Amino acid sequence: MRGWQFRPNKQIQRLMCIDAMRRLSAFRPLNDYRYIGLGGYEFIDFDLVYRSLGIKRMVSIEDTGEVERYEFNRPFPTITIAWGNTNDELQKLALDPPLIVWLDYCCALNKNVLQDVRLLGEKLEPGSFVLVSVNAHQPRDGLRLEDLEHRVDSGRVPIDVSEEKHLDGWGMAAAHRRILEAELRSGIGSRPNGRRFEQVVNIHYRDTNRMQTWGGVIVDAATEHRFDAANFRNLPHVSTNDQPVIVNVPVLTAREVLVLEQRMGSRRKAALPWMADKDVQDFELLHRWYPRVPAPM
Amino acid sequence: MPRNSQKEPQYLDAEPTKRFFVRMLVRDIELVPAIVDLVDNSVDGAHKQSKAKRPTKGAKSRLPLERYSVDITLSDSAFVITDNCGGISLDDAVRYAFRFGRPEDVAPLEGEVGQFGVGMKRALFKLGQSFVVTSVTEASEFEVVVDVPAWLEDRASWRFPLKRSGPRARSKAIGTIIQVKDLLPSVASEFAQDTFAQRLRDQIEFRHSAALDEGLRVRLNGHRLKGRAPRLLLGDAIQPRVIHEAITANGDNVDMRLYAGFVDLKDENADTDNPDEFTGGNLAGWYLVCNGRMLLFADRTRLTGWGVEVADYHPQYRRFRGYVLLTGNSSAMPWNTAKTAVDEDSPVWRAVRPYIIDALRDARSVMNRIKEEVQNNDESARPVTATLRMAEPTRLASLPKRPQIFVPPKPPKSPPTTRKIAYDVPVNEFNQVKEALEVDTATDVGRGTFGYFYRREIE
Repeated sequence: MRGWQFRPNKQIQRLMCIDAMRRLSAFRPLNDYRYIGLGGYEFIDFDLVYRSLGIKRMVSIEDTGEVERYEFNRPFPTITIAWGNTNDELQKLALDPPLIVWLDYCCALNKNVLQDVRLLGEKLEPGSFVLVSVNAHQPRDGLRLEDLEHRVDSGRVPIDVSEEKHLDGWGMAAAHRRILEAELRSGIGSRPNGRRFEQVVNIHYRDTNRMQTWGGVIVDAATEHRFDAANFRNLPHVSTNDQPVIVNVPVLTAREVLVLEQRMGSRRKAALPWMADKDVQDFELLHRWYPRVPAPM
Repeated sequence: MPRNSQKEPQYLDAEPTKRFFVRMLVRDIELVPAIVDLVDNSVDGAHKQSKAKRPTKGAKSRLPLERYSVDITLSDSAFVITDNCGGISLDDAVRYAFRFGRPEDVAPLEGEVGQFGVGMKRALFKLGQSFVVTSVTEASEFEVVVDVPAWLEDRASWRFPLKRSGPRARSKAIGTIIQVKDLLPSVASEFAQDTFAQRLRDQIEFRHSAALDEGLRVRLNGHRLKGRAPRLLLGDAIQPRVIHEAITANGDNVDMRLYAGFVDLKDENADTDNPDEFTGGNLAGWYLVCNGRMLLFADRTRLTGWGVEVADYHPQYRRFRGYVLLTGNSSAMPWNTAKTAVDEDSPVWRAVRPYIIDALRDARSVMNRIKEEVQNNDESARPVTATLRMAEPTRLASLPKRPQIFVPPKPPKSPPTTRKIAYDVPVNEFNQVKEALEVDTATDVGRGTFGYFYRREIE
């Protein structure tokens, strides 16, 4: 439960992504996939991918001096650790087998991240899944555009992102998504072999900061029907466009959760009059991802 | 021209003016490659001659091209290139050498540079307002003299007047002399700068290193040029990335050889100190050579991935050299019509560039390791740097194939065992403490005071 205790939004976001990954079984048996991630010393995503998807061959890229601690916390022997930064290490890994790659950065979007994304665009084969998480926190009003231009190079900033107000709220995350997608597509296009990218994940969530996770599947003509069979679109938390799924759960007691679940869809107001409509709606949207609440004895 | 004035016009005139044609012709070529075009012709001639003349008895130990020479003179009033490389026959001159564009019935040769049939003419127009080409072969000779403004004025004719032509007079030495006078002002001012001759030298030395090594004497303003064949470091624990691949794009086959690796920094430093040896420019980056013609020279732009696929070029990458040699059908080469720049839309370029990018990423990761080593470790703990020092600069042709750059495997980072402390204190207090500790440096004052506290409060 460690994912839950302090970072519920992050955990819900993880579960949503895992749920989407499960649909990759339309392409091939899930245990044919390999996983590449940035596990950190907690390896939370590795644990989930291992247990939920049955994927065993995994590589974690770690740029740290704390070798002993990371080795100690490595949950399964089938996880290998590539010691170094992602720019250096990712290009050394075999990127042509069926892969799920989740680059869960803690930093904001920057040129190094885009270099990794581009590499994945160049190399990933149809049926592979790519996810990128970055910090989407916006700096103080007046510094936002400059900050973004500095991080990604002004040439990459979309033409209609020209004022501070375009980067308000989740605006920074929206701009990031477009820049990420353009880079991935540019990487795909630089090695013309009929591949394309289909976005599946576009999640904005609140951790200590605004965060975002974005990604999808590489498809080509030969795998088109498998992509259709996977039917990602019918997942409620999937977004194939610029409309994000926003994860921002209300803090609730176990008793509240039970009542809300029981009475979902009807007479909301009467159920828990102290709750804001918005919170009730958010709950209904996300209740599936809450940890199971035991019935009060 | 009888014309029925009753009739409506049937055609619109689209014939180009000479002036427009010439302006377009010279627009896209820079001065250095324009001159290199002329040198190419001489070198081609030398090769042809030496092939035709071999084998000569008893001359085995001689270098194949040592009887051939090319002299280039640049001044603010004239450009002259003289060679003894066989000359242009009168017949070739009449049939195609002075035509703009290669006539359909003259087949291009596999592996040759000249595809468009414009090199010599373009160079002449690029340089100045009047030129004289004199050429003598074993059988024939001719001289053509062109006053460019007058030629442009004459709208009716696209011919150049032959001043002299016929069988070779016995006394005449075989070869070609091209003189351009009335240099264009921009050309004269470029020639006046030292850096121009240096750039030209670099390109010729690199491009024709094989011919220079075979004994061809090329002099530029009287200085003899040396072959500067590219070399990469090769050793037991360091091997460059070397890939041979047949590239197929749009039905064209092109042979690609890619070499990516490192050079010794010591040599680089030595070179920079000797202005005669080295231009002072940075030689790191990518070199692209198509059928012997250098299209990219030390490229560090987005074209070869810098600033897009990897970070912008930075001096920490200055050991890097990448060479891509393409040979094949001239029409498949990824060059613009001037053969001076990469045509990014070329199918062959689109097929070759991924190899360049992969190699650059590979090299970048090694160079980042070198930087980390040098920053964090003392000299005894720098495995990659030590490996490079033990390696030998090796000619490209002698490098073994390898899908990746090979270096010693990377040990994981070790956790830091020390911390650095930095802070400011008032000078007078500092001096008092320094005196009390009886030491000389700020570092020793820091260590002394820290140690004092540690002994008394912690231990």
